[in-house]
Amino acid sequence: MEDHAIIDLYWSRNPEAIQRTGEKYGAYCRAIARNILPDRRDAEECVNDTWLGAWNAMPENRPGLLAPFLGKITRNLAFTRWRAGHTEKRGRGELPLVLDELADCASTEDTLQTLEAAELEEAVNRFLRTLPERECSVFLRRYWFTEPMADIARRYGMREATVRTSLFRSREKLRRHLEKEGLL
Amino acid sequence: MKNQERLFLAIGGADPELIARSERRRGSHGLGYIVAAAACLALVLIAGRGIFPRTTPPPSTTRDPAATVEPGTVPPPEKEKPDPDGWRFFLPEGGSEIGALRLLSYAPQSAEAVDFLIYVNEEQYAIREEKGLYSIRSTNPLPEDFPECGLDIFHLSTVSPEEARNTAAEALADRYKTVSLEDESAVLPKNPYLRASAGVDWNSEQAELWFVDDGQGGTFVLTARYFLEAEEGMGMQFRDMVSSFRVVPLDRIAHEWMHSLYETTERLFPALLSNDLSDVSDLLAEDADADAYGKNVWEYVTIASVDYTLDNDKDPASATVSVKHRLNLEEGESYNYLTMKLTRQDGQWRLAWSGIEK
Repeated sequence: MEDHAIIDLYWSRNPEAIQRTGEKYGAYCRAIARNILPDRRDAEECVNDTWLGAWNAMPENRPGLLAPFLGKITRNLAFTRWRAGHTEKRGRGELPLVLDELADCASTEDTLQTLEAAELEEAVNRFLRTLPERECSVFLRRYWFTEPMADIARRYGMREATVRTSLFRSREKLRRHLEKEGLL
Repeated sequence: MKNQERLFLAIGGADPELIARSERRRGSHGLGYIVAAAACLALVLIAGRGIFPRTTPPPSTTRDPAATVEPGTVPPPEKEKPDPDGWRFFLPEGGSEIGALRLLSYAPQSAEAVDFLIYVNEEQYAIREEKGLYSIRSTNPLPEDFPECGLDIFHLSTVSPEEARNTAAEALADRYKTVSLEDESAVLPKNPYLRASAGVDWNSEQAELWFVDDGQGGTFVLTARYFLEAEEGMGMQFRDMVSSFRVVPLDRIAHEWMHSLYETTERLFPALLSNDLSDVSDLLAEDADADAYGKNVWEYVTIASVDYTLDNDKDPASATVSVKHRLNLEEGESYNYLTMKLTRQDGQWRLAWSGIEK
């Protein structure tokens, strides 16, 4: 089913929307959740909660692109669950590695703490638009999708070492960008 | 909430268009081409092995130092001027616009002190190495019904360029309608060359092979493959890349900073993996945070590659060196990375910090 038809189902409050979303985007959202939550049950609960989140978010919102819209809900739910410590005893997953890497471009000072979330989001978006397409995509696969570097290398036909180098450069650029914008 | 967690959440607000764009798989190749490309090279290599049983086996301890430089730092094209030291990169026309370059170098396992260097535009091409075969492929895949194109590099340690070319010509005769041998080409003068064509249809497969003397009794084989209609496109780009190919004995590297970086790195990482820094104290920056495994793993380690990332390629002040390795090859352990941050002052590279990443 086309995305616009699924969205129409949400807007008409037709429960079939959830079934259709699960059929089309279940695997997509599950992969996002599993990258953050190594425990399958936690990830599955997040995916189920995603459909509920989408149900509650529409019709106030009409997403232009359904996949990123759903993926963002899954990502936020999974991150919240991870932070709540539900999975500490069930394995570390990829997220701690990703956060360690992001620490490179996040000052240890409290500057980011005082920022509005929207302000930081806008700064990140301005940064992403400065990146060449492939570098931007590699960055997002790692820090939006929380994908292992080996998976990113396979996706783009790159060597893993090249992915690491690209990410290293991007983090340096992000740090400089945030400094330039006075956010660090 | 920690700063990095706030940043992670902020990245979650990335433009959905960018997220959707990242879904596109790039640099993928159809199985048919992989088979065909492998067939082309395999014919050369298998034939070479049959005739020359001492051909280099796939290296398990390949050295693969590489440096990446930013766009805009590329020197102007120097196609016509030979380097007085016999070593210079010949860049494609419009060099200032060719994007991020990757300096790839390679030395076979036998450590014959021979290396190669080639410039590849990483904005357009991706490099893969598997068992000593370097494959350069476009990151913008062609439609599935198009023959795909690529440039491959392989080293034969005990085969002369002429022998390798003659063997390749025999092996390719069945696959291509015409195979012509020449003593040299304009792209790489003084190196034997072979051109093969499967026909004159727009999609007829074309191959160009260059056989470069490694100076140690062996040969680097460079194979460009494309279809006829792509000759002036990808074919030209491959020839430009090939023109930058240079065999470089490590002791003849022109840039002092690069030579020094190689030497520093090659002293540091064995010391770090041996957990014994007593002989490299002169290479440690003040307050260096030299961390690795905290124990001697050197005798078990297998080095896969060494990658270099520089802040610039003319007068670098810092470098990040990633040593890809694994501790127990026989048990198939996955790769770990020893990452070293080096800074350069007064011509001397020193370690600022190091650590192990998995």
